[in-house]
Amino acid sequence: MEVGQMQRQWMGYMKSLFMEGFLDGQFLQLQQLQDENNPEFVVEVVSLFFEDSERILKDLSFAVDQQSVDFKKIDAHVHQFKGSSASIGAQRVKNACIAFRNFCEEQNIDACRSCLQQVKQEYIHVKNKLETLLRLEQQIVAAGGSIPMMEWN
Amino acid sequence: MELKEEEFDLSHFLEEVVDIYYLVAMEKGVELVLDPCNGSVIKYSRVKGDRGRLKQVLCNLLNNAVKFTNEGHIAVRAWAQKPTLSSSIIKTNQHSFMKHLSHLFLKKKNEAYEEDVEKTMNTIQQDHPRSMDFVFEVDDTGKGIPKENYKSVFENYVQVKETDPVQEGTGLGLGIVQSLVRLMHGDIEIVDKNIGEKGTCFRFNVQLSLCEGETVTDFSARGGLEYGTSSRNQAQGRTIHSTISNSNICSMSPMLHIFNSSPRLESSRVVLFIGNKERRKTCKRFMKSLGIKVKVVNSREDLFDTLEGIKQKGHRSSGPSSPESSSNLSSSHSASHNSFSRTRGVPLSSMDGNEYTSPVFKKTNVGTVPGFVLIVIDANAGPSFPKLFGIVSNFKKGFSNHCNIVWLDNPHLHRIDSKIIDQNDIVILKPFHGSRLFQVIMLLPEYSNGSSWQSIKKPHVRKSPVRRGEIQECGDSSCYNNSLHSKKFLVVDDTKILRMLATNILVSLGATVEQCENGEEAVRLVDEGLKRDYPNLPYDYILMDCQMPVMNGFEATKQIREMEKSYGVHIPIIALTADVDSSTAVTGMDFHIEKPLRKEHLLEAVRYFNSKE
Repeated sequence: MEVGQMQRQWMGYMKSLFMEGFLDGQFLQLQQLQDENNPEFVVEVVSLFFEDSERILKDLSFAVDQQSVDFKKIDAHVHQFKGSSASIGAQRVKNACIAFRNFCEEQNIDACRSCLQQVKQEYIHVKNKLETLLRLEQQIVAAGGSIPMMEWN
Repeated sequence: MELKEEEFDLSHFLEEVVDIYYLVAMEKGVELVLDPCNGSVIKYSRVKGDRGRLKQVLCNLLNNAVKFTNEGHIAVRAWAQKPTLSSSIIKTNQHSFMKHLSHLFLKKKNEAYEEDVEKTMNTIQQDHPRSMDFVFEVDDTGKGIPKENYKSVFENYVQVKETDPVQEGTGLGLGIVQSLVRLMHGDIEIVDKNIGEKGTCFRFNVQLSLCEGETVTDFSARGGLEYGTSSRNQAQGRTIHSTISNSNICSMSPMLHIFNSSPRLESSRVVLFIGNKERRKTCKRFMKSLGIKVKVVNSREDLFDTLEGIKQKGHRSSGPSSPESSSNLSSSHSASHNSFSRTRGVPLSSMDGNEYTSPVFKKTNVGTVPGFVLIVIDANAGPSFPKLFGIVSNFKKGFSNHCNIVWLDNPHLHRIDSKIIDQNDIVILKPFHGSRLFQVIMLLPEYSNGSSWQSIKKPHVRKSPVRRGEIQECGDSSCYNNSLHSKKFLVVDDTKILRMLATNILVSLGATVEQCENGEEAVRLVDEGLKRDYPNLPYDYILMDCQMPVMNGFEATKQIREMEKSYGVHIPIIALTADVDSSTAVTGMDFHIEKPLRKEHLLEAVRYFNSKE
C-alpha cells in the first residue's frame, strides 16, 4: 500500500473513532504536543495509559471481590482511572467511570461489579483501537510518509 | 577458539567502526573514507557471524593505519563475492571489479552497460548462496611496509587491546589478526599498490552467513542529517531524525532495485565539491555506478563555472515539453512542478520520453522533478563559507528548476553559519559516506516516492516547537507561544499521566516544571523553596489537583497560605478539578481549570493573573 492510501486510511480511522465516541478532542491535543523535540509523545502517553490502566483494573477487581467492600477505596481507584482516561481522550472509558462512581456513592456492590465489567470492556475496546491506530502511524512513517494533522471543531 | 554467531547489519557495522576512527584520523589530518565499492555490502548486509572478532580485526588494522599515516587518506573498502572452497583470498583483486565499474562510467552504449552490470551482479547473486565471502581492504597512504616484510609482519604475536581506538600499542598485532581471520574461513595479505602510490593496503576476507529475509537497510535510522533554519539563536540546525523517517526514505532500500535493473537516471544532476580527493573519488564513483550524473568540481571557480553552465542549459532548453514526459509525471507532483515541466521542458538533452517509463521509475513509484540539481558542498573545501554560500545562493535564484543543497561541515569546528542557510538545506556533520551518502542519494527525485524535498520543506507536519525568544500572547494554540518563558511551575497530581500531560504543555510554552504526587509533598516543596529562595518565589504558579491521597489539594492550599503569611507572599494556585462543581470556590485557590489540562485554559489562567498585577 502506498503512503497516500495509508494516510487516507488513517484519517478514516481517526474520524470513525471520534464519531463512535471512542476518542474526544483531548486526544488531538496530545497529537499537537508531539513535535520533533518530542517525537514519541503520543506513543509514550498511550503506553503509560495502558500500563496504569492494567494496574488499576487489577486493583479494582481485587477490591470489588473483597468480603467487606471498601467503597472509598474503590472510588479512589475509579477516580484515578477517570482522570487518566480523560487525559488521553478515551471518552467512553471516562463515561463508564463516571457511572461507576455514582454507584460507589450509593454503595451498591452489584451495580459496582457490573460497572467494573463495563469499564473493562470499554478499556479493551479503546486499547485495541489505539493499538491499531498507532500501528498504522508506524507504517506510514516507515514508508516515508508523515502523519496528517487533524483539526477538530 | 570458538566463533560466536550473532546476527548483525554489516553495512551499519562498517560505518560504526569507521566513524569511530574518523575523528582520530582527522586530528592527524588524515581523511578516513568508507568506500561502498559496488554496493554489494548494502545488498548483503544482514549477516550472521562473529561480530566481535570481526570488529577486533578491523579495529586493529585501522589502529595501525592511523598510527602510521600522517597525511593523505585511509580507505576502507568492502564487497561481497561468491564463496569458494579454499580459505585463501581469491585473486578477485580490485582490478577485475574496477574493470566492471570502469565500463559503467565510460560513455559506452547503454546495452553494454547493462550487460556488464548484470554480469558483475550475477557472479554475486548466483544461486542465492546462503553464505558469502566478504572482502575488506584497509588502504592507507602512510609509511608503507617494505615488500620483503610482507609475510613476516604477520608473525608478530602481540596481544592487542580490544576496540581501543587510541592504543599505545606495542607491535602491530597482525599475528592475532591473521588467526582470527583464518578462524572465520578467510585469510589476510598485503596487496601491492599502484606504482607511485605510497602506503599499505591490507586485504582480508571472511565468510559470513546471510540472514533470511529482505535486506532492510533503513539508512534514516542512523540519522546524521540536519536541516538549516533561517531564524536561530542556536548554532546548530534542528536534528530531524524522526522527520527524515517521516519523509520519503523507504526502508526497503529501493537502491536494490537499481542494482537489479539497469539504471538510466539522467534527469537529476549532482554537483560535488568535496575537499578530500579520495572521498571525492569514492562518492563520484559510487554515484556514477548508480547511473547518476555527477560533476565533480575542485575549486570555487570551478564550482562557479559549473553552476553557470547548468543555468545556461536550463535556459536554452526552455519551451514546451514533449507530451509523453509531462503525462508520465507522477500524480504526486505539486502544481508548481507541473508548471515547471510544462514551461521549461526537459533541460537535459539526453532525456527522452522513454526515460520516464523505464522499470526503475515504475518500481519506486517516482515522481520526477525534471532537471533537479543537488549540490553537495564541503564547507571546508572552498576559501570561505560566505563566498561559497554566495555562489550557491546566486545560482539558486537564477535557476528555474528545483535545486537543493547539502552542506558538509566539520563536527568540531563549524564553518557553516546556520543562521543564513536556507531552511531546506541539509547539513551533515558526520563524514560523508555510508548511510549519510545513501540518504543524500535517496533524496534525489528518482529514488524518492514523489517529491521528497517537498515534504522536507515542511518537515514538521505536527506542530513545530516553541521558538525561544519569540514572545507572543496568543490564547490560540495554533501559533508559536513562548508566553510562559522562564516561569516556574509546580505540578501537583497523583496520576502520572496527568502530570506528564501538564508538564508537556507547560514545557511547550517555555516554562520550567517541577512535579510531585500529593498535597503533602507540595507543602514540603513550597516550604523548602520559600526558605531557600526568599525574597524570590520558588514557583510562579502552582497547578494543584484537588483530589489526591495523603493530602488533597484544599488542605495543601490551606497550609501553603499559612506558610506564606510569615513571608508576606502569595503564590498563585491554580486548581485542577475534574468536574466543574460547587467545590471550585475553594479557600485560597485563585483560579480553577477543568481537568484534563488544556493549553487554552492554562493560558487563560495566566492571563487572568497578569491582568491582576
